[in-house]
Amino acid sequence: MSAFENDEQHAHLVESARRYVERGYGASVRQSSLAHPDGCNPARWTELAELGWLALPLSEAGGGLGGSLFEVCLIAEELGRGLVIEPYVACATAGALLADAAAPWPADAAAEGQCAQWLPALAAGARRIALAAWEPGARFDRQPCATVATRTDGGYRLRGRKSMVLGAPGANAFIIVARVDEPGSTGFVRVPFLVEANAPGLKLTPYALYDGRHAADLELDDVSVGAGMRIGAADISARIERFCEWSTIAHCAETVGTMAASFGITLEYLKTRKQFGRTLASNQALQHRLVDMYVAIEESRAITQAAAQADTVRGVSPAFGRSAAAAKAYVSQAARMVWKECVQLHGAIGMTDEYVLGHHIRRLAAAVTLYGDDELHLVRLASYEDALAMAPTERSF
Amino acid sequence: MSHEPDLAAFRTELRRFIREQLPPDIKATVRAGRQVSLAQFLRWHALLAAQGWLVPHWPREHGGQGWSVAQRLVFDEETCTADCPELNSITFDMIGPTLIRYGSRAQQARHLPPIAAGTQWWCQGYSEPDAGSDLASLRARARRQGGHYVVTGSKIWTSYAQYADWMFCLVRTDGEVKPQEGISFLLIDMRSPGIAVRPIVGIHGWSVFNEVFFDAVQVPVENLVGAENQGWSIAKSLLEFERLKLARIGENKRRAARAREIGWREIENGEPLMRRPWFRRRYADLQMRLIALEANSARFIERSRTGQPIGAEVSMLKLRGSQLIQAWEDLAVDALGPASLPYSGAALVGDSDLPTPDLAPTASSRRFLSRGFTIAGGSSEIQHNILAKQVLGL
Repeated sequence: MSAFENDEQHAHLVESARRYVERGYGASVRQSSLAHPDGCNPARWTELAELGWLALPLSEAGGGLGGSLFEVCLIAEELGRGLVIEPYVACATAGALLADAAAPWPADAAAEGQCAQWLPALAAGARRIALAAWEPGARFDRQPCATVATRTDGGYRLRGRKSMVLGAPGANAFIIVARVDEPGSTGFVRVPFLVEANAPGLKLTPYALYDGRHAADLELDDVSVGAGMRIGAADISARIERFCEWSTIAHCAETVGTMAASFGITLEYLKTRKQFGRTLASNQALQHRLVDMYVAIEESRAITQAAAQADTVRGVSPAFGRSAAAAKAYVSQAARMVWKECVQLHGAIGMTDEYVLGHHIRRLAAAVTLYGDDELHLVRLASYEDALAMAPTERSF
Repeated sequence: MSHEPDLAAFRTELRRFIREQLPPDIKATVRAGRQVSLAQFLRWHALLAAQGWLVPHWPREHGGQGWSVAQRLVFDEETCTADCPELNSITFDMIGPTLIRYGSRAQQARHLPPIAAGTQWWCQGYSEPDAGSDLASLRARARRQGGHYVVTGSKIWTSYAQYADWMFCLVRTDGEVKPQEGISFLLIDMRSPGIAVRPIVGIHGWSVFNEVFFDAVQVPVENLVGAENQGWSIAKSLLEFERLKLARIGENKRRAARAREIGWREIENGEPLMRRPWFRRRYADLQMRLIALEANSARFIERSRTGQPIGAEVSMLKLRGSQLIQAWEDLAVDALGPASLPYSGAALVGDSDLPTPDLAPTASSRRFLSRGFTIAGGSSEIQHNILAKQVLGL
């Protein structure tokens, strides 16, 4: 796929997202979302649905618009620029996983049944789901999976814990990844289940993050789920991986938007604030620091979009995984640098809660950690490099 | 990332050519990081010229292939990672295209064929002892005397002047006007009477650059490019391709491959460095930066392909590409550790007489040499100034 096809369509997406944020998501609107106990104002969520952005990442076979990760990133960047609190990235990519499971690969009647019920409601914003992929004690490593699904007569019984489920408060259901010991297979397979929020035995511990987002820890104490709530009859762990990458990369795009907004505020401030009889921006030492921020943001956008374009339909190819790991590592480093520089270049005003920059700062700081920081993703990247070094083509010339 | 469908096939063809044609002694020299001799360069030029690949980015009427920017960058990447000598950019990317654009018919007829054949080597006479980043303050003087300019003064940091047949040179032809307005662009035969070249030995041990002295050197007026006092604008019109190339993706990948090789070979506490957390972390961090640089560079290539202006923001590529090269060289030295210390001047130009392993004898010199990447061609500070002024509007 060429990244640069559909340029006009992409420009239109960006334009409409930017317009929405500028006209429909001002300070008071944002304040009401922040004040909402779920960190998600249902009125705003309906607006995102009406704009088609919730249907965008759902596959066409799953009743959506079949948008690419690249397109999701275009929206996410603008929402990040506008500091939209609603958990678009977390919930829209969870929906994408569910819709993808409905695609005929392989044909799967159970999944299709689930999708027929859920997907139209997700696209319309009438229901919202979140992906529970991480567990306590594993930080943001997706591999450990201590949550177990045991087969019962009519389905499965789930037991375990999930942590830092973004968008969980107020969600109607969760995609819970649990291990299933498949007969005949040596290890276990990781299986996604759709579990409704009111399922008996499911306990939700919600909390707010310091940037205003909301998340929750989940505890599953023998939660019974019907066989039809298993997403995909076959081993679709590769697809889980793929949509974890989607959420990570879309999160990067959102962070790029917030970085760009923070930078814009800082640049403007330095151009107007005077000390010693001249603007701060006329000092070369400060100009060069602004340039370094600018370059880091541009490279962040480039590496994020390149990762989005490397998306592969069936699971995560080494090239896609490598790009995704590099993107999140890079964006984490850039976001850390940008938020600190924005505070320092502002001076004391940059440390006040009432100044608008404060929201950006907290958001960027949290974005570094969410979905795994640079240290975690550099470890992943190094693993991909091991494979590269072993490849026979490496020294073929 | 390919946007042109034939790039993959092109890559395959390039790889085959290099495998079959690159002479083993040249490959060994480049791989070891030693200085490539003039004779080796000329042999490689002849092989490329025979294939039509020495100046493929030139227009067809001057012996080029009309390659796209993307093709040219693939060529750079493949040749770099396969240990081919790096072609002299001054000759093939700067003076060639400059003569195509600004040269007289006579200048083109005289110089373009030997450049395209790979037999004429050029150096660039820009910097002076008192005119580095502030190039416009240059003082080498050219006085018109009948059919000649008489050039007096000196140039410094002139790379490969010891190999060069010709120099393109910025000289002052009018001292009464604004500094930028009194500069002319002259072509000077390096064999002219009155020219002296003094090699400068670098901290790396090589003589890559030189000081060049002009003592009343007579230069025929037909060697003036463009009009008198118009030299500044010619010098500033770096071609688009040249600016895209400054990301130095190929050179960074070659260094990445070296670091990887050292990382798998060098042992610490019974494990290859590649398994040691400190090395792994640093290696992955540089790979990450390379992936970001390549992604950013791809956006500019795409702009160029679709005919959009590149813009001043392309300075980002030069800034980051040069910093990254230095970081790879640092990693190589740190990875070799004690093996990077033994030194021999002979090992910089010929077979190593040191007990240290392959790649080690030149590692420290390569690292010192790499400091020049952020100084030459517009220092990192100049790139920051350009971005601050022209992109951020400061």
